Formats: sequence, structure tokens, C-alpha cells
Amino acid sequence: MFPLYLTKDQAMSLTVTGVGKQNAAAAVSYHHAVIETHPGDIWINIGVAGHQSAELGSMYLANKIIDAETGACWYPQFACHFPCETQTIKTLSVASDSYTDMLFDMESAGFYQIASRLGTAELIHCIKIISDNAEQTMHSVSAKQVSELIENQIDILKQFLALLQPLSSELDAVYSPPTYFNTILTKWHFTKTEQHQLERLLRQWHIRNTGIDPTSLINSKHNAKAILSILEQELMSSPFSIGNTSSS
Amino acid sequence: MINLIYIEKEVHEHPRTLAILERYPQAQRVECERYSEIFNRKAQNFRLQKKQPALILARKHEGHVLPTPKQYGIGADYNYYFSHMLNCLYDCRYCFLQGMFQSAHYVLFVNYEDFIENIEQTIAKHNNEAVHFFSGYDCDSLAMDPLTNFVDEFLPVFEHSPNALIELRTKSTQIRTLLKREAIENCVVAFSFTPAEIAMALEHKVPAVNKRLQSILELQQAGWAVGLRFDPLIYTDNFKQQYNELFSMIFDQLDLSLLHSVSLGSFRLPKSYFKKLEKLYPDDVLLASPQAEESGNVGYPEKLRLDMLDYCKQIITHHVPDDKFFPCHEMI
Repeated sequence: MFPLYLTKDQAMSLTVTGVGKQNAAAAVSYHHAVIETHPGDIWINIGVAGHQSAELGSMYLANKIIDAETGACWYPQFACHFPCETQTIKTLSVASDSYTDMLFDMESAGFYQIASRLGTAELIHCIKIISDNAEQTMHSVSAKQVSELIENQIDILKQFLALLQPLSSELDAVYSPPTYFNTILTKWHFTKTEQHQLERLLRQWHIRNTGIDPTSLINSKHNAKAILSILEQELMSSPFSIGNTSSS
Repeated sequence: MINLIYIEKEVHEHPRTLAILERYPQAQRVECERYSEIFNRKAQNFRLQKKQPALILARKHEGHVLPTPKQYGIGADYNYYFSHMLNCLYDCRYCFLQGMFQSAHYVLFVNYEDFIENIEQTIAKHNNEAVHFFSGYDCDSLAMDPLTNFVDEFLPVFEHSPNALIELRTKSTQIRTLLKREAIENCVVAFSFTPAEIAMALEHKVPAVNKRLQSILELQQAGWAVGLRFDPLIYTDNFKQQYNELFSMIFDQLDLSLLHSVSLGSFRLPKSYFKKLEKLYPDDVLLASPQAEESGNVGYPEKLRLDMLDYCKQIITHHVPDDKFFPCHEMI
């Protein structure tokens, strides 16, 4: 449906959305379905935009996205200091050369609306490179020029991603199940509620007993209830300290 | 450092907004209709935002002064709180703000004049009866005073209202503005404490316990009434030793005759806030504490909680008369 590219290590993926907010929204959904994205993933919409006076080729990060058609707004969040200026973007349904002091584009609102259902606002951003302004209007922009404008900013894009990556990794770690959780689920049946209990108890186990494998405790148990019970008993009788002497 | 300021259209030209913007000329500015557009959005992460919170300048439309929950108080029959600011410079892992708010941004309601008018009306309503106001529920009263100018703007109200008392609740050492002013009897600067080891583990970005104590001593020397808030009490295996050391350090140095009040309460959070805390910081040591759930709250099991409160009460009341001691014995 949309051209989709993957890096060799599959760490990064790219979907070409085409023009317009509907396309952008559909492309995000498509990308999510194909890649099976995670809540801690980074989502970037890279494209071009117009502005009354901004220099051609300069790069901006959206701090506010306005859907011109509906008036809806989104505010990408900045959890670190980025290497480019920020600006408000207005997403138009129809291309316009009535430039203002806001960025104009045709995709950001569609992209952001859907991406913000799949991830978190600190990791979803729109980066726009100025392709046209009041002096050189959109009518003179070719596809080749757009490619060049984006290529010229690849280094800053890389810097930008390098700043976001630790935040994404931090969330991945938060969302990951505790060690031994998946192993235990492959051996015993747990209901959904029991899975939540197991997850909580295993996390507490790891905080109180760093580096100690709990599976020797539970290997002889026949069912989920017995496993939860022994973990709870062990936790209640194990030491707990906060501070310098903490076992965490 | 504030790098980004959201400004509600309605307060764009407010003198306090202009003064704050002048203070941060480098900060990017983004206009919004209402602060809630940013602050209340669901698809955002408190933990990540805490790394670099933005400032939101907004107008508080209603509910400027609200009654406190019944179990809170330091001696008056009538107790109110007001929040000129939402969120805190600090990052205490036990804090309810991270469970209550979607965003870690600082919201500053710049229409102090409306807060002050409501405070004055509330004082007038109670005529000559004692009425207490608490300013540090949804933020630290002093931590951002250089930005908010809170002390200089709000304290004059109380200088002329002897039946009213204001509590400034803080963990901050930002006491310069207070020290420049003449102390008033009806202002209590209340400092929160946990033992140093616990503070190091759970109170991120907060001044060290000894620095806070130093601030208390300076305030006492300048004639300010101070309060001590051991709330929340935090459990650890050597709880007694740690709290004993903390109490000794504080009570040995303080001028107890100038102590206004001491309050005490154990760690507890509404269940929904606790669940959010688990999602944000699943591997934090606090979450491995002994836990019990009761009446919609999560806290310590009853026996442990009562043991902790009783132990602390015994030591505190050895130093402090009963009429200055305010234990909070609500269920968890």
C-alpha cells in the first residue's frame, strides 16, 4: 500500500506517505501494522514546509501542530534539548502560497493524530525543511529539489535521533517484562490476573534479591497459584532496605 | 533551566507573564488556548517530561481557595489550600503529583490577584476565627520562588490578617526572600524530611537533609516560625535507627521554643496513583516495600504502619508538647 523500507538491522524503518493528511494518517497505521511498533518507539515525520520568510533549506521542529480544517491541535513534547529551532505548523488540506509566520505543510496533523495513539508525545516529532517561501513559492519546487533539501539535513537528523534513542530505550526497559517472566509463562499456565501478579512479584523479587534466580524456588510447583504463593512468602520474609544499605 | 514556555492566549499580556518572559529571553514560546490542552493529554510520559519540564503560564478560573481534607490541619478549625502552581521542581518517588497529573510541566497560574481576592474573602468570612491556609499541596511553596515571586506577592495579605495563618510547605533552601523580609508570626515555613539515606534514594534533585536543616536554623535566627513534616514516613529495615538519627539531628539543633508544629503521616497513595507509579517506575525500590490496600489507598500493612507511627510519636512527643504535634492517622 505504501513503500516501506527497513535498515539491515531492522532498527529503523521508513514509510513514504505521499501528499496530504489522509495519506499521512493511513501511512502511520500501515507502518504500525506491518512493523508491529512498540509504545516506546520513535516516530518522525520528515517533510518539507513553506514559510513566509524562513530561509530555504533550513530545518524546524514542530512545537505545535494545527489542523487547519478542524482546528484540532497537538503539542509534541521535548524531553531534551534539540539541535534546531521549533515552530508552529499548520497542516492545510489544499496547498497554498499565502505564506504567514507559521510553517505550512500538508501531512503533520494526519501523521500526529494517529502516531499519538501508538506512542508518546516525547518521541513523536515532525521535522520540516523549508522548501518554499514568499520569494520562491511552492510552484517552483521539484521532487528532486525536495530530495536534495532533505539529504542536506541528514547529519542533523542523525543527531536528533541520537538524542531521542536513549529516551526510547528507557521506555522499552520500563515496558519490558521482568527477567524470568516469559520463561515462567512458557512452563505454567497463568490467567491474565495471575500474570499481573507474577509480574509485580518478580519485579519486587529483583529489587530485593538482585541477581538471584527465583526459578529454583518455583520449579517444584504445579500451578500458578502455588508459584505466586511461594514468591509472596519469600518476599515477605526477605530483608528490605532503602538507601546505601539497600539490596536494590 | 526553562527552555520552553507555553502561554495561554488569555494571559499573554498579563504583567506577571511579561516579567517571566523577560527572565527567560532564550526560551521558545508557544501559544495555547488553555493549559489543559498540553497538561491533560494522555499520550505523554511524566517520567520523560521530568527530564526537562516546560513552563506553562495560565489563568486559574475558579476554585482558587479550597477546603483541605478533614484529617489535615495544624490546630485550626478552618483549613484551606490554594495552588498557584502545579508540579514541583523536585522528583520524589513517593509524591502523589506523579500519579495525579499526566504531565510533569510546571503550570503557573499568573492571576495571583484572583487568588489573593479569594483568600481575603475567605478570611473575612471567618471574621476573627483562626483560619489556616496551605500553599504547598500541588507544588513546593518555595522551590521556584525566584521565578514565581510567591513570597513577596502573597505574604503581605497575611501581614494584615492576624487571625489567618499561612503554611509554606517546602524541601527547598530558597529562603533568601524570606530572610530579606521582617518575620511575621502567622507564617509557618514547614520543612518535610525523611532520613538522609532514604532521601538520597527517593528524593531526587532535593537539597540534602543537612542543607534543609541549615535553612531552618537560619529562618529561626531571623524569627520565622518553622514546622517539621515527617510525612510520608518511609519504611526500611533499619527504620528505627534511621529515624532516630534524623530526629536527634533535628531536635538537637533546633530552637524548640520557636517550633510551630510537627506533623506525621505514613506513606500512602490512592490506588490509581500507585498503579501509575508502578507503570512509570516499575523497578523503583519504593515499590518493593511491604504493601497493603485498604479503602482505595495503597500503603503499609496496618501493624507496620501503626508501629512506625507509634515509634516516631514517642520520640517526637519527648521533644515537642502535645499541642504542637499533629499526627495524621487516616487509614493508610
